[in-house]
Amino acid sequence: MEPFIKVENICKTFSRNDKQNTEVLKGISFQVNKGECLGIVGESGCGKSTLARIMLGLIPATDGKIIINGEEQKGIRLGSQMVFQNPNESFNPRKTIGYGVGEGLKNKGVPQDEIDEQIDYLFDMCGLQRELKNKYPHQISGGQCQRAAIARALAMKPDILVCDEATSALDVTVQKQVIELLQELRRKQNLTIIFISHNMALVEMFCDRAILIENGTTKRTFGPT
Amino acid sequence: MNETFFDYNSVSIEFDGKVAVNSVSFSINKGEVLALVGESGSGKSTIIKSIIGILNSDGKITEGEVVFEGENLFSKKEKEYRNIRGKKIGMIFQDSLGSFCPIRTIGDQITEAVRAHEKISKPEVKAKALELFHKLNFSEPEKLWKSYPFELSGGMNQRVGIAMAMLLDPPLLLADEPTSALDPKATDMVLEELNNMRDNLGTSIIIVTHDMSIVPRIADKVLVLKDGTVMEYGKATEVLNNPKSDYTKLLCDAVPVSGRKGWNLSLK
Repeated sequence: MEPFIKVENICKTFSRNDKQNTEVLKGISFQVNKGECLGIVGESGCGKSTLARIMLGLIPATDGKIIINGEEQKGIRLGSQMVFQNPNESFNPRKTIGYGVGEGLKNKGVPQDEIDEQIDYLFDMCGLQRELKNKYPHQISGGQCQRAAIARALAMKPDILVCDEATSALDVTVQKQVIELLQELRRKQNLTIIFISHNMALVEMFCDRAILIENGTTKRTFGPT
Repeated sequence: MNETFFDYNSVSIEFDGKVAVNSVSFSINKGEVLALVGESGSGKSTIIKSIIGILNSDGKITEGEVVFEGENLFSKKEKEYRNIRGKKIGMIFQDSLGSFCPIRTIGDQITEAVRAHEKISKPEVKAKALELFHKLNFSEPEKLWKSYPFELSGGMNQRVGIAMAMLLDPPLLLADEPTSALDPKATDMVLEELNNMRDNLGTSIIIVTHDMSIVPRIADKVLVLKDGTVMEYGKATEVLNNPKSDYTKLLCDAVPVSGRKGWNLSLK
């Protein structure tokens, strides 16, 4: 069976003034099946987030390609969504949480009444009280904000969710709630999840397989091959 | 017998009439490590801030006292506090990178911090700091001295923050979530550094964390807080092995356990 995501020999070099080159990724390859959860682990600065940004098309790779569902990915793909590490900072501080969750739909030209309906649905699904829609990011807790960030990602009906240290800034009990939500979403929606974390125990508990990145290459893989 | 040299005695703190810390008491002996554990909003950081005298202006201490080396810290004036901060009570922040000035080198900032408390020349500070960097196994101490905080990793910034606190050799160190933002390798380094400080300098440490998994690696005692109230307080081994409060059990259970799939995931 053809894998859902095929990452082939991804390389990324950052250049400073065309003089100093930093080679962050030196040929990363892996495959992920539909509905699978792949953990990506490694030290801070090893290139995990760079890889995530390349997979979403936020930054270009220096070399290599990403094939999703048989098509080579070029640029941003709406079917892939990301949940960032710091939930509060990933929302516009001057807009309400409800606005933030529905902004993607608004940009897609969805009518406002439909957006409102979707926001209610997403809030219910992510275990958020509907009255939080009118709150600003600083008025809600980190856990609530991260749930809202997941709701915002799900609003675009993604088939791939990339979680970049999505639970690192949360308390252990809130982390458990967010993981339980992601597990439920996987079951219900057959979401494919790329879970980036430096919490080894969490990755082992939550993911089906994992890769360890070191010095820009895949050092080891864990789980069934 | 060890003397109790720090006593946080029945302290209550309010913010705009809302109780943030509710009659909390604990004590530490010399060379002892206490872990303050609880979720966001449980009052951990408020307790730390009250000890070092940096509560926000709307924070009000309604009762209790903090006795440190025989004196009540709550009766100190701001000027007196300035002589205590750094020299007598050191502090490591969750985000050392954020606590450093971004446009000055590490060396510059260490020099300023040390010279604020000791009559010592700049070359002497540098010599003392580089000696400590060597002792702490920092690679390229000279390069580190000239680095800016943004040029260092999160773990390295945190280690520099600890080194800065160690240079002044405070008898009490407050560490507010020093490992929360770090990967396991950097966490190991920071915990090792703190253990060294306790073992070699006899420093007493209060470490704030929401992660129960680091408690057995460093703490002698643990105090579990919820909504400003003490849920459990006692020897770390006893509280972790035999938690009495449901809340402590909940915190212990929320920590993911490795090894279930036999992956042996490690960064080492």
